[in-house]
Amino acid sequence: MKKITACVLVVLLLTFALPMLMLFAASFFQGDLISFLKGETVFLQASWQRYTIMFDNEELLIQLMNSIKIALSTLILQLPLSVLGGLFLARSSIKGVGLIRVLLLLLLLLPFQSIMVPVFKMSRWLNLYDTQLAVILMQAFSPLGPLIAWLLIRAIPGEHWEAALLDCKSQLTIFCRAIMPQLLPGLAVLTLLCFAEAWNLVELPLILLPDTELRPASLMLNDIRSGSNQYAEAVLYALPILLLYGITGITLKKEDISIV
Amino acid sequence: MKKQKLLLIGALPLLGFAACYLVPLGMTVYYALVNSAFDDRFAGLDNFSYVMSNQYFQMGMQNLSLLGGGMILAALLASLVIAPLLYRHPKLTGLGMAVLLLPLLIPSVSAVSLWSAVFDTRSMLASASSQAALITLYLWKYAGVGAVLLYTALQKIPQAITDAAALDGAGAVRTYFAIRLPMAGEQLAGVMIFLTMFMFRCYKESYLLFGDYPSSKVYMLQHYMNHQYVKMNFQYVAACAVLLVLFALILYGAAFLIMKRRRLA
Repeated sequence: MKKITACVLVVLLLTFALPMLMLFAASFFQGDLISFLKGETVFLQASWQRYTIMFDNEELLIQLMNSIKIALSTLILQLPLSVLGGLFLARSSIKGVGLIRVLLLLLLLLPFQSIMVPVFKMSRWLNLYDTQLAVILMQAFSPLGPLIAWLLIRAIPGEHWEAALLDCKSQLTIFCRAIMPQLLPGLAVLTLLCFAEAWNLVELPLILLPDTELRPASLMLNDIRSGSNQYAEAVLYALPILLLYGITGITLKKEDISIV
Repeated sequence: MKKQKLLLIGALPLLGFAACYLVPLGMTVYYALVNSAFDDRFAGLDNFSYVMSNQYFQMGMQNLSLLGGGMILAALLASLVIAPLLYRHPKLTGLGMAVLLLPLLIPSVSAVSLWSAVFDTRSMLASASSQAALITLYLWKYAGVGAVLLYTALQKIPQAITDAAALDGAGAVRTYFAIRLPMAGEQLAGVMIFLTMFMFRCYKESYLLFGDYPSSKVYMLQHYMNHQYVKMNFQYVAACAVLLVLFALILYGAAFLIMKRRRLA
């Protein structure tokens, strides 16, 4: 029985891995591998060419640069803001903190369309409409970061704070020297999630960036796909996430911590 | 830490959050109740009655409920199958979790390039396959997260309880359905909340797969809202948003209620 269930699990896991494997495989063929697998007559030849000619596409490079700009700027702002927000939520005994947490969770759960019109209007009032800064700010203040940071900081036992207080009076020093090192594996996961969110933006730039030259590749890759190169472009766009995922996994494994 | 210091620490992220998310949510309600974004005379419930009588709104709402419900149910079933398998085979757990969580992080635009080729979603004739494309993409991206969350819940159940059930003659399947799942009821409700959140976010994939004008089978409320937005009918977008929020709150409320009951039980 155990062997059968192990086989079922392996098959299920392969099913989950299959789309990425197929995407990788298809990106290394001249001719459409997917059409070939669907039974169409297609000439197939293994080649690197799709990756080499991809970089001649100037439009694609512009969109990729936009993605990098937006994702990295968001990350630089979002990480410290998330830690500060999480610290406040975890350590504050002020009345209403519970309500703030509920509001953060609620806004995280609601679809973006629920605030679409006011976000558009506010960006016009603040002269941020059609600027990447509007997208970066919206993403940097996303409720996801403070909520995850709150969960991470809350998990640190109160005794650790109290023990550190005996050695040092400055709360900031305690946080940086005693608490931060314990948060690092969790912050690696937070970085991964925040980067993945910012790298995968669709709705925000759709509303806030009417100028297609400013839009990230996460929105434009569909439109600028140069025919047979679509798989190589898709793999290239997933590559930073895969790398970060691998690095985070290795970091957590070294610390012997599970990702969830 | 002193109250003032903590307030200072939390001020910037919380003010930013309020300005970017909380205030806009309040403004959405305001815009839903005025004539238009350029004429702020009180319109009562006119905007709501207009959108609710519109056939495209009805189609979008129906698809969101049925297709969304189907997607959540399918993902939940997949999670219920995968989680106990992960639990039963600890040697495969590490690799399994890595494989199951990866699709969540893969950019939608990358996944869509494969899905659109497999399901031929750009063809206007492919309305049946468009549903299949959306459901399978949702399953691939989000069912794994559900399974991993459920697996962590199963892990927390004391081994002694299931051992006692085994001594009484209960098999693995019976133990799972009669003991483990009821005990993990709270986390199961949590998984449902996550899956519902991802269902609402699935418009992203739908937009990338089918563009602005999908077939009627996958036309969602968010498509209708986007069309009204392009026409600058902001009052209708806001009215739809309020209805969408109410719909989401009912779903989340039900899940939270289940969670609370399980916790009390």
